[in-house]
Amino acid sequence: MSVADKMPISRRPFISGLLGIVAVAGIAALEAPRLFPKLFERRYPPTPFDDLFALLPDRENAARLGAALVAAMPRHIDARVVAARVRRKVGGRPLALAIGEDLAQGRLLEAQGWLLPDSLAEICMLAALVERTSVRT
Amino acid sequence: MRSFLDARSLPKGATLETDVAIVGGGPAGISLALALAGAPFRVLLIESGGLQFDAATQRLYAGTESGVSYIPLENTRLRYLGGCSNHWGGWCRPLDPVDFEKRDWLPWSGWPFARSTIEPYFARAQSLVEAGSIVYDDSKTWTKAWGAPLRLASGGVYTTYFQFSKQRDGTLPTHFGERYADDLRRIANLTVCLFANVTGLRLTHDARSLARLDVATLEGNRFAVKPKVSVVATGGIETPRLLLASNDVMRTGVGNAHGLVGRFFADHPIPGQTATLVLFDGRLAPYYQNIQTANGINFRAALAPSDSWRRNHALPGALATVEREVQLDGVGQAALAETAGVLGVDASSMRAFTLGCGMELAPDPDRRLSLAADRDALGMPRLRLDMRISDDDFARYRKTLRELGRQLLSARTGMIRLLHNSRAEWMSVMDWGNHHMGTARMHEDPRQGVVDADMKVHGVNNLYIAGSAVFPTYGASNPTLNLLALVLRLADHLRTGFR
Repeated sequence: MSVADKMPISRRPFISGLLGIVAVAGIAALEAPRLFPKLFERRYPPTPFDDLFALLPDRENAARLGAALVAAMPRHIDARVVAARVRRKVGGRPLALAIGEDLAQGRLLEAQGWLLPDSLAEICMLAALVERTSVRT
Repeated sequence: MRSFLDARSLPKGATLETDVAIVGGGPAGISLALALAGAPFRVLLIESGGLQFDAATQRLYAGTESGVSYIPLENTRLRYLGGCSNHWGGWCRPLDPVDFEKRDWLPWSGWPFARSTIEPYFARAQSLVEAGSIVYDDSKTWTKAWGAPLRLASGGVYTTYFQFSKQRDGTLPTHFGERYADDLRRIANLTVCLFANVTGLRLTHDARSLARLDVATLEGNRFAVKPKVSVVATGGIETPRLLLASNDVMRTGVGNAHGLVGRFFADHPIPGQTATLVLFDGRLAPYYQNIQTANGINFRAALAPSDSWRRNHALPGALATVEREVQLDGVGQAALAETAGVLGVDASSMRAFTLGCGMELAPDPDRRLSLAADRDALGMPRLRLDMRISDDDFARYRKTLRELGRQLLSARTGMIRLLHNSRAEWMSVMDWGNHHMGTARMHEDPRQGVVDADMKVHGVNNLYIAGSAVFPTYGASNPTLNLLALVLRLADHLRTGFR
């Protein structure tokens, strides 16, 4: 065994290595949701309205907006009635088309004052109504 | 007579004779005097104040206010040569053609003539306020220099442009007293009488003519002016005070046979922060947020409902200005993300701004100035203002904002949040434009107006009223440029009458 084999590990390379590992781990933790969104996506139990929720960019945002819309509604909202109405308007097409028709006809709803096209607002309301009764998984 | 007289130095009990007396040295009175320069008759301009602010003179304006919170009557105007131009912001824009129309949904609406009647006078009015050549909505001048306006889908709201009275040293618009004092001095047929308060319009016994004006100074001097023709140009608040207080022959006051004087008081509500505007790409031409200059003209953009939209949707005038940049709260961020997402728009560079407001009130006879029991230092009854604003006024403005929101979304340009719904929310941010209008309204029918289309007081053959007091409806544009166009038209009428 040589003398060199018995020498302790140099302190500077050890600290540098450790910091490198921490940095890589940190960046990975921050970037992972962006790089692998499916792994980090919030999961929801199945609902009767999943075909409509699939049209939304972000269901959590939608539920937040929907809660504001629901809170401003004077009467109880029947989710199935709302869903049927939206499905009729969307008719299997991209949501953007139904929204275009809403805007052309001036159909707008307010979520805490934010003006939203009817179809988007109604799906948001459904998201909020489902959120109230769902269990987060 | 010398061109500038100090009323305090006149002999007590004197009588000044003149052909035309102009009561009030604000923008209307000064412009009328300038427009009558060189006419073959003598003109006397009577101003309560001097060349500078004086607290004792200003206190003559004090009154009481009730109802909706309003600016104290002593603070909402200025009583010295130049009048309200001494504190104006310089915003200029002609009223829209629809503002002159009778609208079935808007009781008491309808000027006795179309905008085309005063259109020929706008160029000279524009020159008086030193706002540059007339460009306004001929927007190429602005957009060529500063970039394109907001992209809005077709609909009711469009980008309109204000021009601004000359900015002196970058801060002040044209102050008529300071700016035109030397011009007034040079007019051979004009005398300006300062420190002279007209306290009474004295009619002949048959009430068909004005016989004389009673004038007083704060120092106790009292004298009379005997004109052939008089023009009251004392603003939308002081004009009804003078008419109502002159009740020795007509017990209800001069021009008030039908109880209209002092009613229909109006101002432009300018509540701050009425909406949040989000622009998906964050791009906004600088002329929306601040005054810019192009071809030497100061201008700024606003958003307004078009005439056709207003006709079709029964809406009054309205304006929205882009104010300061703001951050979105949680719900705002959710609204942005979700909306931009479904529209397929990249909102990573978004910016948000507050929207300011200019609103036209519907004419309301119960929004009213009347005489109070207490008196000022000259013995004139003070005024009491009953200020009102209806929920409909707010609701109508909201409709215009909703249309703007629809057009922004349709064009995939942005979106808006309406900040106020309840009356309490609107009132919490309420402010006023200091634009006093409507209290001596113009109408051909004496039962509906104090003055006729020539601004002559109904039933009195030699008394006229100049200024925004005669506006029957108000539009959303600032009144100064428009009242000056009316004044210049009146000058032509007076010149013709003396031929």
